[in-house]
Amino acid sequence: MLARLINDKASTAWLKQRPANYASLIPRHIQEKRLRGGSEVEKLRRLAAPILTLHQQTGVIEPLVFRDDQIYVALVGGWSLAVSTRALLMLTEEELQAAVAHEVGHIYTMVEAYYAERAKDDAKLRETELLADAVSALTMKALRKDPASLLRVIEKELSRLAAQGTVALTDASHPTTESRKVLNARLTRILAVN
Amino acid sequence: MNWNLTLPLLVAIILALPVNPAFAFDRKEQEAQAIERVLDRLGEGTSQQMKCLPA
Repeated sequence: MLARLINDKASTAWLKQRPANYASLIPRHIQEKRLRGGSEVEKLRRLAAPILTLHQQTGVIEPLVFRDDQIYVALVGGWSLAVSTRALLMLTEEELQAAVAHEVGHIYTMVEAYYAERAKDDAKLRETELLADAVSALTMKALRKDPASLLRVIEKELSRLAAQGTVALTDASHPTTESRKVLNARLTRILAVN
Repeated sequence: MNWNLTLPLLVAIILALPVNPAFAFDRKEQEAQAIERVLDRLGEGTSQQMKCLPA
């Protein structure tokens, strides 16, 4: 299933080489707090490496760490995988890889997401999130790790937000946790059969 | 203005407005359909295959 997605060159052909100005596309607040080296940067590079290799994104997507108190893992500016120091501290290595795989999964729907954002099509944006969830599950399976790891990240973030008094993790552009669990359960059953 | 015609006209205009199909489904149904499309995108017949499996 993952091979089918990876071999669909049409969806990622434009992303095979990052532009010279890719760093300027990173949000300023992340650039300003970016770590240039150290154990945290090395840790992220080590954990992200097999995922980027699997998705043929080594040297295309650049992992970066920035100092922040929030759990934050995101593909920013198209070519940068931004991970906060808090995320590196709070998530297990497996959970972090699941989150990284989810973000890398967004490359397959980058064009769809762009137009969905412009059209304010939240339903379409939620679908791109679900596909990224599926990519995470399939990637973890390929790495011989738990395909449900991403759900633990979501639960962990929900608990943290609940402790802060925030009710929900989801906004209009993200699917409900229930839907994400349903998709993961379906995929887990498929992977068990195949 | 003939106020006796205002309400029926308003109703007629509302009924004539095109209905966006997206509003016909709630979010849960939308996401259930999105899950099917994601599974189909990952492999032809994947979701059909799943329907054949015991719950």
